[in-house]
Amino acid sequence: MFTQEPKERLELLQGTLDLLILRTLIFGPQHGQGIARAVQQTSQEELLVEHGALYPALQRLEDRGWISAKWGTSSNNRKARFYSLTPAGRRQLVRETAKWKRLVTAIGRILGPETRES
Amino acid sequence: MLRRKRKLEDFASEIEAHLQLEIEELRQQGASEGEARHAALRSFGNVALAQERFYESGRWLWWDRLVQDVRFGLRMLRSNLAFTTVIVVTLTIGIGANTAIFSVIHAVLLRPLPFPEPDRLVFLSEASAEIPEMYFSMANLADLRAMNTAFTSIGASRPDNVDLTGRGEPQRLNGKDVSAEFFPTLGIKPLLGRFLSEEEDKVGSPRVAMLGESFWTREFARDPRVLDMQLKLNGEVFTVIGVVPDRGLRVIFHSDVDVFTSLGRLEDRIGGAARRDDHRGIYGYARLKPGVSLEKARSEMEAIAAKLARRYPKTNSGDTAVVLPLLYEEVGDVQRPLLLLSAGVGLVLLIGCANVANMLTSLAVVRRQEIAVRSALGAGGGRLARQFLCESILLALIGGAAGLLMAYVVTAGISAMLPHLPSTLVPRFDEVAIDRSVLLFSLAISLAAGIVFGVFPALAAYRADPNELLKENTRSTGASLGHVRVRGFLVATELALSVVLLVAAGLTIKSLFHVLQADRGFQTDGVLSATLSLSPVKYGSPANRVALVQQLLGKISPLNGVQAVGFKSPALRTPFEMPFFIDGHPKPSEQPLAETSSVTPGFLEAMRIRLLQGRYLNAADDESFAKVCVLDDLLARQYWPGESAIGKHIAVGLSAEPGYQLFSASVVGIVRHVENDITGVPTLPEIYIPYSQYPNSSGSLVILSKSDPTTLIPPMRRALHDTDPDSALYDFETLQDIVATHVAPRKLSVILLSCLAAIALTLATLGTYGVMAYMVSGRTQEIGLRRALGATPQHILRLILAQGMRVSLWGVSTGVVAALVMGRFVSPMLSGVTALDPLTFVSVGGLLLLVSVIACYVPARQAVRLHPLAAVRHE
Repeated sequence: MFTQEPKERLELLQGTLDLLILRTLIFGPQHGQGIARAVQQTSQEELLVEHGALYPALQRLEDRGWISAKWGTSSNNRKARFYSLTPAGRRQLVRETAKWKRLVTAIGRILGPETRES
Repeated sequence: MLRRKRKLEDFASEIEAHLQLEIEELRQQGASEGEARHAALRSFGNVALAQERFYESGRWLWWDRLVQDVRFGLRMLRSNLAFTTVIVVTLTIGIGANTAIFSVIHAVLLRPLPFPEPDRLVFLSEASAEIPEMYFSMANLADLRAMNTAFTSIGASRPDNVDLTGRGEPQRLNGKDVSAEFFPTLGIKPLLGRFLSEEEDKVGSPRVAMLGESFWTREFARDPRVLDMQLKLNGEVFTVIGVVPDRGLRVIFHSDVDVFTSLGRLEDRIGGAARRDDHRGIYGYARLKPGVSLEKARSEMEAIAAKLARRYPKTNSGDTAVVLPLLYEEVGDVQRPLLLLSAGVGLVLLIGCANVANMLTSLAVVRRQEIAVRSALGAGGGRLARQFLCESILLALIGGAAGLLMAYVVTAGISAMLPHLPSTLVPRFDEVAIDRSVLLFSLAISLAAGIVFGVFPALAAYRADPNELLKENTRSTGASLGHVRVRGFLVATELALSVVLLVAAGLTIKSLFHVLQADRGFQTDGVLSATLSLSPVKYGSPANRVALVQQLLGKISPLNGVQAVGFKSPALRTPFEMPFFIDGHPKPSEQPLAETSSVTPGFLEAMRIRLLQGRYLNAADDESFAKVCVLDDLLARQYWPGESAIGKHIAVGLSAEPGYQLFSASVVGIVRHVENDITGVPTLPEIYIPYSQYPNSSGSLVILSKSDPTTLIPPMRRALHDTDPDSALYDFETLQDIVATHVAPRKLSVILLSCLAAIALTLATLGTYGVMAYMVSGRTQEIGLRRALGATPQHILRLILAQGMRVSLWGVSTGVVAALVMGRFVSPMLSGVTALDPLTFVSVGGLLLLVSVIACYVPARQAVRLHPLAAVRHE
């Protein structure tokens, strides 16, 4: 039996999916399945992205003008909808990344000592 | 938000592409076709959910639902076509009438005057103890101008119609004398040339004239070479210096003015300190300084007038100043009737709404099954209520659109049918148009109406419990108690509102009849009048005037059919209120005034003013004979109660030059008092003096003829032409026309109010009938049971009638109370009838009760006629 779920994965925190999508697109245009794969692989299979949740998120980002999309052909010659980062999306990524890092640092400070003890 | 939406299909194919890519990748990793597909789907999660979320994020759900509601609503309305038609017609009448009246109110009362900063413009006049709005004397106006601090400038105007000669047939022109400040105060710019300068507004300065736009168009085809042209007005030569735009001035003067001349040039004739008591047609128009309120200006003017009254007690005592907003002065007269009408149409719309609410509530009962099913399928109360409200608003909007059309047709129709309406009845009527404000108004009242009548069925739907509704099953248990109560309330409201409208209509009809039937003191049939103007240059001397008038009358009286002919100065409908003195009167505190006319023998006969005592004036009463006069019975009774006034002495203060001249005469006749209450001012007693003893200037010629008097117009013109080719007779009018014009505003409001009352009565009757029929049909089984148990038909009739009449009595008595309150507002518009006229109240109340008895009786009869067994089985 073929299976892909060797270990328990982390659920995504609310609102982080947008950030991950924008980050993934910084390397160039990508289609939805590619984005899902990339998120999983870069996180070393730690993050669980329900592929189905990805598409409404992509739609939302497109509606806000942070990414743009057009139909194209994938590396293995299949039709797919490719997303790329817009200048506004790039600015948003910078803002959100900075915010996220501050958040992580702050939470890290609070949680720091306890994790060392345990 | 009009950005093109991504289609749902596009989204679906993206998901499909994703799955294919995933499957391919998994197969490359060694999975079988089936396993790969399974795994791809599993890691994707819920495909349908993703699509749903896409759908909801991409659209406005509420808009979607609204479209659904509207579509469904339209389908419902179409399936109940008869029902829909009745409702739409009701609403069309209600909204149409309101929109029409609003378009008039907007144009007449609300729209600012077309001048710069119009709210700073005010109207000025004097007032005395007897006359609420009195012309200025030039000296008083000059003092107000010099002493005030409230106004940037004060302009003045005075009617001065003139004869234009030297350009073909002599023409009578609508003329005004204006001061140099007049146009600048209003902020009017010349269309061509320039306006009067300060220097030209003085005695002895070169005579200049400004033409009105429409006269320039009519007479000179808008030729700019009219400037510097010479015109002969009343025999004097004037130089044209400019053209005045009509717009705006039409509101102030109620007609288009042909020619403007200087007021200041007449200072030596009608002004000056010696004539402080001579109030000759002058009104003031002023502009408030920025930051000065109307109240402040008014108190300053009153203070100055009081100061003048102290300084010149002989001429000014008791006089004060009037300051009114200019717009109010021009349209204030129609404000009350227009507001009354708008209240009337408002009531009609309310009654209409009550009716529609009733109909929709019964429809909601019929639709109980539908509501039950829909709510069982998951429609919440809010959603159902919204559906019902949406239907109501749809109905209201359809009715509103039709009403807008109706308002357009009505106002355009009135303008087309009554082209003279503007100046006589409603100033600014020519400005009535369906513009943006009117559109917004009709949209707003449509929406409001839709909400008002939609709330009842919507509330019913909101409260609906699907379980209860389904349990009720198809078997009709008839009206639930709550429904009956709501509908009873609506019917009572309709009846009450109808009472108010019918009482208003009844009171105005009664006062119209009073005015029409009132003995005016003269008779109108077969009487023709015409104005004769005597140029002050040619007829400066009294002897010339008397000679012309006597020659003219001598030529007219032998004409075929003429029974009597006479001349009166000043002209008919021109007030000439003069002080009079009788031995022992007046007491110093009061100065009585009388309407004074100088008339030739034949005038009283032609007007058929009844002689009560003594004799009429005759040809022997000329300048060589002792001065005589004829009084009306009002005056005679007041000063010589219980004794004959014949042979007594009276002195009339006539303003001849210079200052007062007392005309002391002995009374030779007493005639019936003539109603001179045309302007709403309390009617004054009348004194007639012989024209040859006091040859005033221009006036009216009055002819009584056996046949149609209008056939006399050409021979009369010829008679004047033979006597003096330079004079003109104009404004030929029969007395009947004059009276009709006077009564026209009353007639119009009677017609409009009666229409409204008739509509209201019809709607209320239909409403009552509808509710009773509904109530009775709900009780059919009960009635059958009662009959089966031995109740007689009479018994049941009485039962049902009692129930219906309880509601009617409530409605009618509430209405009577409301109408009593309303009476306070209409009483100033009534004459010969009080606002509490018992006959009107009793007959209106009786009529409505009778109508409701019939509306209750008809359905009750039907229920009783039904065989008891059939009634029990009735569903």
